[in-house]
Amino acid sequence: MGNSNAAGLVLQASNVSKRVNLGDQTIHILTDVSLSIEAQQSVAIVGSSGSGKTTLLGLLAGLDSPSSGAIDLLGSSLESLDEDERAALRNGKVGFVFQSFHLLPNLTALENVQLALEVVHRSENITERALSALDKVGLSERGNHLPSQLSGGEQQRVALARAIVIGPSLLFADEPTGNLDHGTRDQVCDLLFSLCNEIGCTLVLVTHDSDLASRCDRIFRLDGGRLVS
Amino acid sequence: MKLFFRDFLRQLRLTEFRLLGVALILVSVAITSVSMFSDRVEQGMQARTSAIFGADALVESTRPVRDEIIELAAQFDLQVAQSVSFVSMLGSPEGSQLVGVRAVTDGYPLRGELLLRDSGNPDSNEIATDIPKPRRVWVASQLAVSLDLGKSESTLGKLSFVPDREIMLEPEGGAGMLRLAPRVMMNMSDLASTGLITPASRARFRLMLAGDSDQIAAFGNSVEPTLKSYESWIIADIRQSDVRGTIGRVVSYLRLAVLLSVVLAVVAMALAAQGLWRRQSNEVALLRCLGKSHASIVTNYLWIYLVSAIPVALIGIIFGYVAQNMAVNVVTQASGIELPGISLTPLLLVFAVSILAMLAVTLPLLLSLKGVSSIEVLRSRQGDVVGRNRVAVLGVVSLIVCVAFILARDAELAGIVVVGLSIAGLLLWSVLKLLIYAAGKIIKPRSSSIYYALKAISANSSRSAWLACAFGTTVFALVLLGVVCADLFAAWERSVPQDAPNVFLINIQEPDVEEIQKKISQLGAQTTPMFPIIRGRIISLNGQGINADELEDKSAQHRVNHEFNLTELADLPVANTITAGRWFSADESGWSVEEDTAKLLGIEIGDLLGVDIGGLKLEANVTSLRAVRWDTMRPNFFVIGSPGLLEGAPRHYITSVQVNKNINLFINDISRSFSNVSAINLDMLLQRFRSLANQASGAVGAVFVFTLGAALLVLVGVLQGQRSVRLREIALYKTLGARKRRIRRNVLCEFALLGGLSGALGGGLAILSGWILADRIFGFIYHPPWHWLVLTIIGTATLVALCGYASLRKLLDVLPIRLLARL
Ligand SMILES: Nc1ncnc2c1ncn2[C@@H]1O[C@H](COP(=O)(O)OP(=O)(O)O)[C@@H](O)[C@H]1O
Ligand SMILES: [Mg+2]
Repeated sequence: MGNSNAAGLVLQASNVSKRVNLGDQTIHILTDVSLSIEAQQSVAIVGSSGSGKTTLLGLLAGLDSPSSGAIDLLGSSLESLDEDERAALRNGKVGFVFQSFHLLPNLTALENVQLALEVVHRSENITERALSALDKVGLSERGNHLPSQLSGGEQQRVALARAIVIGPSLLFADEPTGNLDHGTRDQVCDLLFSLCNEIGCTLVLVTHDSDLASRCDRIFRLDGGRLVS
Repeated sequence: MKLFFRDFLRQLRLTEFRLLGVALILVSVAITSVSMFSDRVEQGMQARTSAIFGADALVESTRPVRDEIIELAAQFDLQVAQSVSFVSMLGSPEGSQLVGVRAVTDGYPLRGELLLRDSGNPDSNEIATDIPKPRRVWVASQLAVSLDLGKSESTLGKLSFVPDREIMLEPEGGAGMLRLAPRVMMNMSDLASTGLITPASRARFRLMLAGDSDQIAAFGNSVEPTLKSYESWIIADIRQSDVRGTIGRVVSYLRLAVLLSVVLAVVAMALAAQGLWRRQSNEVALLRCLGKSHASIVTNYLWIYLVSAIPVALIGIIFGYVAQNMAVNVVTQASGIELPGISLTPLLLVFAVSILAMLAVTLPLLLSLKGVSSIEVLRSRQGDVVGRNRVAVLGVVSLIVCVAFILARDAELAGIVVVGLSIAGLLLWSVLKLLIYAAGKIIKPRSSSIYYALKAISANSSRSAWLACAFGTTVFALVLLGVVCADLFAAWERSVPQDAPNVFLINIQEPDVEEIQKKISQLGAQTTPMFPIIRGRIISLNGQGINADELEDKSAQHRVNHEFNLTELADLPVANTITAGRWFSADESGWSVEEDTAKLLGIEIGDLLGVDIGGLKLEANVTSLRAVRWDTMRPNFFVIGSPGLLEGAPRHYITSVQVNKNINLFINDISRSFSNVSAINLDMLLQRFRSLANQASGAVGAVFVFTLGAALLVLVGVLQGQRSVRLREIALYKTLGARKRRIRRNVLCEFALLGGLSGALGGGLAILSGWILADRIFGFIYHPPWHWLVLTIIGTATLVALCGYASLRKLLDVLPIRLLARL
């Protein structure tokens, strides 16, 4: 990947802290988190609920900015960028999978996948590419269905298709199986890992499911906003 | 373009977006139909006024009209005709009689019509297509009975004429212009030969004008500065005509209705936009994650909203056009009056308002996108992201104010509506908050539906307050319209009752009074009292002479310069209300002055007012001021003296009679028996007036439907906005084990309570504002219909409960697991 630096690092955080002020009280959500993630690795961030996993993921993806510390994403230092520039950095290179799917309710499954391509201005063969992505998650037959007509597992598979259709070099997943039952959970997990392997992207996975975490190359454990190893 | 179309179609799948569209359609339908219709009605009324006036405008002079003015009129491409009116004696074989002569040129009357009856055929009414031929005259009915039409000769000055037709109705002959002397109409070419017009004679010369209203106005602007002191410029203006009261009210009402409909529709739009944005913020956060820039997201949405406003407005215009066309058809059929064609100005207004409205409700939300952090998408909190937005509220409020002022063209009306609605909203909100708070404290836990409903209301006090606020404001608008509407009808009923007098008898001499009263009672006809008429002029105020030239105001000058009718009365006439001071007590002496006249001349209670009656000078204190309804077809007076105050002044009497059949027979009889009494037939005028009221009431009814539609839309908007929250709530209840019946009962109860509360507050405020409006804009006395309030409360409680239930019914049937999946 042209964007990774010499050491093959796609993501690097050094001494990242996040604080929020609630009234006269300062809450330390993350304290001095440092980590680096190499290209094509799969990484799990685990920890109990409220330990700061989602916050860390958001910071790593440039969705939010840290109170202190530096983050290097795909070779760019995030603190020098404003929100729009960070968005431009993600454009076409970063995919997301969310716990609650976040499919747009007014778009069909196919259109939800197409949307990702439209946003990154890949306008050629949008329909074919979206269809083939749906095919990869085994839902090519359900392209014309609205999210409300799909089960949770199916919705998450559509979300997965939406994430990989742009061929990202980084995929962030925040508890992708959190809203799913056992059977579908394994199905979605298998798809997640196999698709990531296929397109050769780096996977950053937040979960409190130890089975899922154990399938990753590396595990970072968060406790009370600090990394413990 | 293709991309835009695709995005547009995708948006269209959102209920909230469709709701926004429907609300916008309603805005444009309301504006199109009502503004077109009221414009047309107004223009139609203007034409009617011109018809009564005989022209669109005129230059009146006490000397022959100067050639420069006539040439100027030609330059402005206006139609012209001239008339000269004066009082003279008509000589006939049966003796001579005082008549009002009018000499006219070709083309008279330029507007309206002259209704004639031929000598040969007494039942024929025909519209005059020309003017009297030379050496022929047309005469009023009361002369026609004594003259042998077509045969006998009459003389005017040095010339003899053959009267050949009878004038049934003429312009400038409305009830407000009672003439003493019966009309004789002649050809202007004969005027010089009669020798009646000398520099010393008192005649009124008129240059009558008709044409395009802009041209008339332009001519007026250039001619007015050149006018000499004995010339004046007069425009046929609705506001100065007899029908002014009625038409003014109708037009004001239509404007009020369109104003309220638009306000409600804009509120519905704002609600829909809020709901839309609760969803959109989700989409925005996602797009941000995918790497789309802030600016391009905003532009994208802005395009969709603004561009879709255009076809939506167009649909509204088409519907609006059809609707107003139907209304116009009803009116023309009911009244036989042609309304003028449509003008395109309202269309521009519709587009402007539609786009403005769209901007006002969406732009503040779009701008608040800056606050949507993309991190929100990671937390399941979307929906709360675009919360209450002060800018949005401000945008909508200022738009409503703008629209109000554009549409109302009447700052006072718009002001009352805007201030009224704001106060209504604010008051509703705070009172409800308070009530909800109190209810939460007072109600003891019990397992009744009412308890749960109250609990739900107070637990979501903010949501409930907004909901009730929206309902309440809607109820406010509806009840206000309904109340004003009902009173408008009542006012018309009062102003032209079925038993309105249809014959005026004027110039009755003192000795004939008893004799005539006997004749009337023989006929069994209804009659008003005999009003003494004394001609007089205001000359002094508080001992100081009033000089007309020192007065700024033209109408004030006119009032001082001209003689007018005074009377003395013991009882306050019908259709008069005392606005200051007291009506005369037993042997008090004083004046009662009409309030507009008093304002014009600066007369106040207690002032010493001096009047000149044919050389007899009289002074007395002003003891009361009166408001007069001019459109009642009854004699009305600017100044009334206490009984006996005007003793010794020369006088005659007038009265009005309601004759049910054979009006002409009655008029002939009176004219024959009392040669100097003039009987004026008002039947035709009354009929026209009634058709006007019919026409107006049809329009008013049609407009009410729009407002009702807008109100329903607000209701749907509010309920739609609540769906997702309600969904969660119902799911929760169900998972906790509540049964469907129980949930349904609680929901019904909650909505009924909220509906009843909003009905009570909104309805009460509406009646209060109706009272203010009636007084300030519509000018009639108002009796608050409190029984309406009870009906309103019951009605809104039922309606809101049913609509609320209907919107949530589907949610009740869904299985709890499905509900959870949708969270
Ligand atoms: N904007 C915020 N304001 C206040 N507290 C926050 C905010 N964002 C997150 N938190 C708090 O930070 C802690 C970590 O949150 P999160 O990263 O969502 O945890 P996890 O994803 O591991 O469950 C939680 O206690 C949460 O309440
Ligand atoms: Mg989390």
